[in-house]
Amino acid sequence: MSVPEPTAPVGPAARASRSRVQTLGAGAAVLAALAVGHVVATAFPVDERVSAPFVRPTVVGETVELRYARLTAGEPDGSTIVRVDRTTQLSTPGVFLTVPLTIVATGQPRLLSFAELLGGDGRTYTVFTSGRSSFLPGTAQPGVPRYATVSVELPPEALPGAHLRIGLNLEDQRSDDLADIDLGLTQADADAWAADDTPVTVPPRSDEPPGES
Amino acid sequence: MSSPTVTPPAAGWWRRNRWALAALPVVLVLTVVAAGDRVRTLWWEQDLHAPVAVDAGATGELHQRVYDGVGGTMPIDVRVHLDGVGDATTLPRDMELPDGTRAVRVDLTLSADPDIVLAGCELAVRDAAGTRYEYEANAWGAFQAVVPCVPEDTPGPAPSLGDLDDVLSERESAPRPATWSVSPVIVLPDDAEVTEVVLWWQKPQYLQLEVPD
Amino acid sequence: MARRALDQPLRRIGIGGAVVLLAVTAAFGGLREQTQDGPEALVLDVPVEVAPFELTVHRVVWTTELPGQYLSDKTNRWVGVVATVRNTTDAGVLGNTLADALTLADVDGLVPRPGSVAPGVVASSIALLEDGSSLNPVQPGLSYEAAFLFEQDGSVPPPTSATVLVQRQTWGSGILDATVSWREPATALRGELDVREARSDADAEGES
Repeated sequence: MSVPEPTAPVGPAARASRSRVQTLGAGAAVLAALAVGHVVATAFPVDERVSAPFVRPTVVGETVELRYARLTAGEPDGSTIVRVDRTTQLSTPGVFLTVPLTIVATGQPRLLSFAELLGGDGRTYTVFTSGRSSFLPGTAQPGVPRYATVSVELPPEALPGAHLRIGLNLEDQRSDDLADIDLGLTQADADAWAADDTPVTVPPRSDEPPGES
Repeated sequence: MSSPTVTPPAAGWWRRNRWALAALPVVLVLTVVAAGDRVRTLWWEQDLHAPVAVDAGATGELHQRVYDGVGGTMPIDVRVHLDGVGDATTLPRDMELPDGTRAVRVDLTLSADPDIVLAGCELAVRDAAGTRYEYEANAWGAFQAVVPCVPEDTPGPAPSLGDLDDVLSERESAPRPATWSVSPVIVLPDDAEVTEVVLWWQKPQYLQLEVPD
Repeated sequence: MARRALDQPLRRIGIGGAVVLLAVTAAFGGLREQTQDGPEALVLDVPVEVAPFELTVHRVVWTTELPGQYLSDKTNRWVGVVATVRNTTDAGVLGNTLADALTLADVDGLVPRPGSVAPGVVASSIALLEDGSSLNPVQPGLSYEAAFLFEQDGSVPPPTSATVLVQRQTWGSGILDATVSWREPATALRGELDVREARSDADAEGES
């Protein structure tokens, strides 16, 4: 911009070639800028970090404060047979793991619906709102403890070192709190449960502590 | 041919780009508005953000156009008076309170044109910290009125279901009175102090009624 | 130079462009040898890898009654494909993904289940032989014995043969839907298999 316009008369041919060089130069500069922008935008793996959930680690018996609730996991149990809601009985070639949870919603009624199990074998075990691996605690009134049990079907080798993850939204855990519960399970638990055919139970969700209703 | 006039270089650049420069602020505003639509759908309409505050003892009015579910809108024009909030002396039939909770009765007197569709109303109470405890029609063993703010026997017109209206027979019930009272019961923790009652049809607008002493 | 390029007949530019385009596809495997001409033959009791599953089809049977399973019309019957199912990935998948993996064709009067893009007719339920429950979610590391259950109109005679289509799926996001999931079921194997009547309910329930 600070280059003064030439005052000497310039021939039309020279002017045309100069403007063509300028056009090509500008085009190359735009392409270079796009390339640099692409490198900057992709060189750093920030996308995943920006949308990653806020993982709140905890262990069995210890309450974890989440944005939407206080969550406490009880003692895990397991067997090759599970009895759900006193009516359905399921059996598995692996193990059914059950974890009783206490949910105290904060702020407003909350419907926690996401659960998944990170196996000690590095695999992820899906939990749905119904079916063979399920979690359905319903909407909990703030301050009124809600008791609900997660049940997960998995091979016994996934049990030692397994972590249970609980979140608010079934479809989308991005940029929100996510509880990560170290279940403290060992190979001994896995062996015992894989050989056990006494059913573990998943009682219906309730606002009364289990065993009293 | 006259000799070329020499213009100051800086002025030349601003002059050459004057239309683009004039358009720039407009384009920036348009960009923000276009992207801002998500703020409306993903945040503003997802929670209670627009209160109509009503002092204790006063009568509140809510005038809102809400989506009717078949592509149009319908009016909500209602007057609400909070008569009082107190411990429910008699519980709804079959209601069993969990330990550590109590039931409060919200006495409301409402008036609206009998033709106004008031189904879809939701009711909650809030404490001083802003925690919201919502009315649950089917919970803790009891079945209360599905819609907490219309008379159970004469709820008034139901929202149109479009083409299904011809198939479904009109439910026979007397017209809703011009003014009526309801007393829904809300369950909340023992230590929660109710400071206001909130009532809404479609977020973000809501009536915020201060509880009289 | 640009001027000279523009003076060329349009047709020549078009042909040149097409050649360049084809050459560019080489970078994404455009010149790689095609590995498969249509689906391979499905053989009974031979495990096949169709992402995200390994499926072993054992038999195709029909029956009118299965405990715990309900026909939409009492006069209808079940056509069941009994198979061993294994999720070969590192994460559990939901039952609808499994339903897309094995479908049925060339059977008259099958009751279609809408909402799937998989070729053929999708099972109306997938029941575990062990306990009759619906196989959902399908967890990795476990082998399940299951029956893909298809409902057939009772006014049509029971089938003597049926074409079983086995689909491979791709992990990715859709054009309009950014969520990553198993998509685009494409038939990898097909087999025209004999169908016989289940010897007893117990047979379909897997006590054979």
